[in-house]
Amino acid sequence: MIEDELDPYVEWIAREARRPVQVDAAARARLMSAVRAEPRPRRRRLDVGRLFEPRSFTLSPMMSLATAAGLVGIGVLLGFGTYRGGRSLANSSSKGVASQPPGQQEAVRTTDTVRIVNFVVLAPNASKVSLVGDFNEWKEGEHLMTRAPNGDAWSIAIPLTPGRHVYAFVINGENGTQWVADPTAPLAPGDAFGVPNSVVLVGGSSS
Amino acid sequence: MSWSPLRTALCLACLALPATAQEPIVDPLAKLDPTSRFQVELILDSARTLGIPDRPLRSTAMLGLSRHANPRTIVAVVRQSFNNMRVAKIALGNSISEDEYAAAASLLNAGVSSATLTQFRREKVAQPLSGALIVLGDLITRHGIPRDEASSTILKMWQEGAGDADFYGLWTRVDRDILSGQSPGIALQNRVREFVPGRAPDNVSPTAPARPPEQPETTSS
Repeated sequence: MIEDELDPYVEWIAREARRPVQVDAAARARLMSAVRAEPRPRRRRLDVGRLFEPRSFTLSPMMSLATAAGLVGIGVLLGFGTYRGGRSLANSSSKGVASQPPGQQEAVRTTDTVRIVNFVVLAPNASKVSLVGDFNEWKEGEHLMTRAPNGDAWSIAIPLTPGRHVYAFVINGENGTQWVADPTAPLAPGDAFGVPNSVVLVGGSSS
Repeated sequence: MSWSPLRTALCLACLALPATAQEPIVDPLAKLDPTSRFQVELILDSARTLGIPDRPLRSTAMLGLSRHANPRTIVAVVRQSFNNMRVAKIALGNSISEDEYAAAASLLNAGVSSATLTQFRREKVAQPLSGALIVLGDLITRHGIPRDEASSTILKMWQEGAGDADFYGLWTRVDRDILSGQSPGIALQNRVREFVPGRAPDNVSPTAPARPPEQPETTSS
């Protein structure tokens, strides 16, 4: 079939489509009255009550486990990101030089950056002994020492980063509170606040 | 299972709370009055600007707070320490560590001159310095060995290659000799003669018998 043969047929269809449809006037009036009788549609408003209506949904055990794990993971990641702003003990590198000053015994090397240092002091009449130093912001009571079961020695083992640390013992006893330097370690010169302090060099010099 | 959307939102908010409700980080210097704190912060900032470590200075301020020192005293001591560290930086050069800064600054407090410190510059000697400075400070402040004598002795050992273990070994033996009745100066000279450059130091007993504290400082509390 070619295009010239199609034209008269198409024109006939178009002519028929353009012809106005004759509608009975009574029918038209009935239709319009029926439309007007319908109530006007109201604008939908937010129904607060629907927020509190119970809903039901189904969740498979595997899906609920996966959801719970995802929420915990998000919490851990956010929490880790927040905590990174805080203090961290292991923030300096170790040179790995084994230096053991007298009085402090390096018992265990835990990681490359932190070492366990044992502090000992003789205080026979003490009721409580604390270790204070630059590693605990000189807070009394942060590192309470324990008395040896059969002696007068008090000791504590704490992790320290390599390097130079200044410290002292705070001894509570019959004579009140005494701030004393470690008699088995070098003295830190310049006790500007009227108290003697000691020095420990953990893991050798850093250069 | 029946859940309202509001309850679901509340549960999600509760799950998120631990992430945001971390313990707030409180600056210990907040215990100072605002003026003193500002002055201390200014000194710390100056130190950082000059490339001087601020951790020892902050620790000094914390020590003062722990000792319930007057805020003006704390500021003065921190400023003095900062000045000492500046002098130490000039005397020893830029190639020293934070520990060496702190040890050198405390030596200046003990009366060692910056000219003496200058001799410890690490331009020709690669040995670590902290152990030498720590032992030197103790020999001067605790045992009362004259500064020049102690400085020249330690300097000579350091230049000959003595390390931290050598200095602690020397310190232990001198301390032992002094306890047994020798005069500090003689004890130091005798023990220094035992040092042989290049020889591995003898083991220093890490479990040296602890002595009772001497002349303890009694606090008011």
